[in-house]
Amino acid sequence: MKRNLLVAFAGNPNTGKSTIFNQITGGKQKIGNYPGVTIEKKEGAFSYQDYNINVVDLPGIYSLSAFSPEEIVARNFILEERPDIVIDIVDSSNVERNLYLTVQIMELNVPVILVFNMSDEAVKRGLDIDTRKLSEIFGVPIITTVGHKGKGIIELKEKIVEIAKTYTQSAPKEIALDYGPEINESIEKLIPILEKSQELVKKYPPKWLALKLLENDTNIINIVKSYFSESSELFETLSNATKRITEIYGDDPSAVIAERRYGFISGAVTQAVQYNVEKRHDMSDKIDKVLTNRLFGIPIFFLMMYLTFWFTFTVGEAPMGWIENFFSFIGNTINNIWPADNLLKSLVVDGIIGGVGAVIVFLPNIILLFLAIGILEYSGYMSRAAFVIDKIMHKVGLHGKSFIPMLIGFGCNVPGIMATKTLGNTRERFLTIMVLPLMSCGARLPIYLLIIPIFFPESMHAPILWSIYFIGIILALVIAKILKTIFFKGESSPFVMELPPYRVPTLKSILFYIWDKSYMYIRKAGTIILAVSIILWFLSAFPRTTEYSMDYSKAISELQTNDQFSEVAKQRKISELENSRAYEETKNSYMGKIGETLEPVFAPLGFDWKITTAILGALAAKEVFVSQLGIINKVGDVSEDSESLRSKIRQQYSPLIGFCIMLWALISAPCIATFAITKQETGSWKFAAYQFFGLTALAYVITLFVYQIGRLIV
Amino acid sequence: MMPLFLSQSGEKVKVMRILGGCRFVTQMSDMGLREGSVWEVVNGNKHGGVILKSAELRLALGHNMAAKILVENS
Repeated sequence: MKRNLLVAFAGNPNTGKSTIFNQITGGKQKIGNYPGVTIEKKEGAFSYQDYNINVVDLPGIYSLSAFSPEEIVARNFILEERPDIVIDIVDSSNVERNLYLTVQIMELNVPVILVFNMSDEAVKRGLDIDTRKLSEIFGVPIITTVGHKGKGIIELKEKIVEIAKTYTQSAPKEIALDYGPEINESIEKLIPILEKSQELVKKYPPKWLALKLLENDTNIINIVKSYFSESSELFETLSNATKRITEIYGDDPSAVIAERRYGFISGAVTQAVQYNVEKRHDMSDKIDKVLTNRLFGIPIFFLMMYLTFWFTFTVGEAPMGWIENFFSFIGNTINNIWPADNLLKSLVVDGIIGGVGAVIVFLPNIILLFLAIGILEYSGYMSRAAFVIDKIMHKVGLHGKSFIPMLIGFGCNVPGIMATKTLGNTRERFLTIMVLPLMSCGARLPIYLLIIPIFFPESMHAPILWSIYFIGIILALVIAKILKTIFFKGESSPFVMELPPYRVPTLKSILFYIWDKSYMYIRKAGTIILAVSIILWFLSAFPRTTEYSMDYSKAISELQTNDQFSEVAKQRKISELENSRAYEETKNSYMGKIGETLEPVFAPLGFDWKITTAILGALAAKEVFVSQLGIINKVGDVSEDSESLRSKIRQQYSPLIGFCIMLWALISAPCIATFAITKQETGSWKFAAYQFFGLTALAYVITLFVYQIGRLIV
Repeated sequence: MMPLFLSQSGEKVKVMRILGGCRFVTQMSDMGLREGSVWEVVNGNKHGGVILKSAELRLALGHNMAAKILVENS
């Protein structure tokens, strides 16, 4: 029988915690949310010797002071789930600051293993850390690791098991931290009173409770209040102690306690850590002088963004073609080996392969975008970029960090919305989510690529395409500003961010990053898009047309046996007939009926029933617009560079309508997948609905305005 | 004392006071920015944010934040 162990990973952000977590669990992990909050919970497991070890990755935090939801989540997890061991990951080049969290974890009275990660970099920086000495001072074991190289992982596993074996029910050794006579005395006074409630001290260590009460931790005070009345001896003792300490130190107890913790840490660091060399002017500083320069910073930022897009779309072109060919190959193969023309076949070929294929085609773009973002992130530039752009973002109520999810949104809005998790402040996070669909995602690109060459001369193609993206960004900023002034009032959270030193990103970390993000996209294709494709297929395939304006099958078979025409002409006539049959079927289908019913609503925007039908299809996934427009214009299945579809559109619509279509595609309701992810991330249908209908209303107003004004001018 | 955003690149500054609520002050000190601590200004900017450095720790602060932190040259 193997024994079970629960191990929690804690640590500051940027300590390589996730890397160690991935190394130790072998990358197998389950991602969920903590109950009630939208903070990501990563779980994994591995076996070692006689133990099954479950690992939970707590959110990256700087302290356990319970000011942010992340801190509360981490603290409650340790208190409520009582992990057998807490592994605290420390950035070896930044020991002093990282140890502050360590001290607070140890105050919770749980067994701790300290992991000094990125120890190679500390050595490079001329730091000499005497881990044996530190381990003695803190009374906990210390393991040194180099996360991305997998160094020290075995030792860590060994140590976990070793501690588990010697694990006794008695509490682990207390941290030798002296809070000073007055605080100690107050703690001593509070403990016996707290112990009167057995129930309370069973849940929380009494000394820790006393400390938190002195620190005026509102979260804990509220908990204690449900056991002790406010007029009880406990709160009286507490307020006396607080008064006395404040008098003596001229500062409230929380400041004194924090001071003591820092004192303890800096004492330990002075003894155990030595700077060997006075470093020459650091490379990172030199790079920062340029990249965050007040004149060059913003231009460099835009250049980086431009390069990211250029890379994504230019390099992505070829593999996109391969995937397109692959899916049409599968479709054709099935068509050939499955001769019967029945419903099931139509479902498989048109519904499933067509629908899912249309989304998978963008996978190369997504992978390349995440490759670029991964490089920016792991090299350390991303946090500088957030810093550079913070001032602009701040003006509209967003945060410098909001730009990262927005950038990801250009690839696909779904991972973009998921990436808003890095924003600590809920208000800013929701605001970012609300405007994120205005970032024109990869799925909208085919619509632009279809429309632009129809109406605009070659030299105008690139500027028009850029202007669409630009309109989206400007709208996002304007809408954010409006929402902020009306609904998301309150001061925006301060921008403080730790800047990691510049590093050359490792291949493994980038690959893992890409896999992590792309997998979400593939899963979306396999679930939501698959379901919606089937529904859309149903809407356009039913009701089955029984009466046609002519007998198409007969006409086609007659043509096939007719010798008057050449082979090429025959094929062309047959496909013409097939297309008009598809047109009749679509017009008669539920989809066509809905389109016709809604036509009066969209007529003021210049859209006829055909465009309306395509717009409805685009709700599933924006790129569906193109194929839907193809079917309805009797040119069969098309891609964005179909010349036959282009000439049809050129005959029917004006350039103004073309531009309005692109505007609508850019602004209107996000796709179903985005709707679903917004619900998941905000935890409320209400927000998802606001976003969905709000953006649609916005699109309607803007397109109406542009079309009506445009008509007067043109 | 002057607000942090007035300091210039390359200067060494000592944090004298942090203006703001208890929450803000604690948040700052959790990240290592405490009264009495000494920092090197990597990148000062009167109209934007500031980057500070101490040993191996680099912090980027937005303009609004840099206004709340009062420093002296040291």
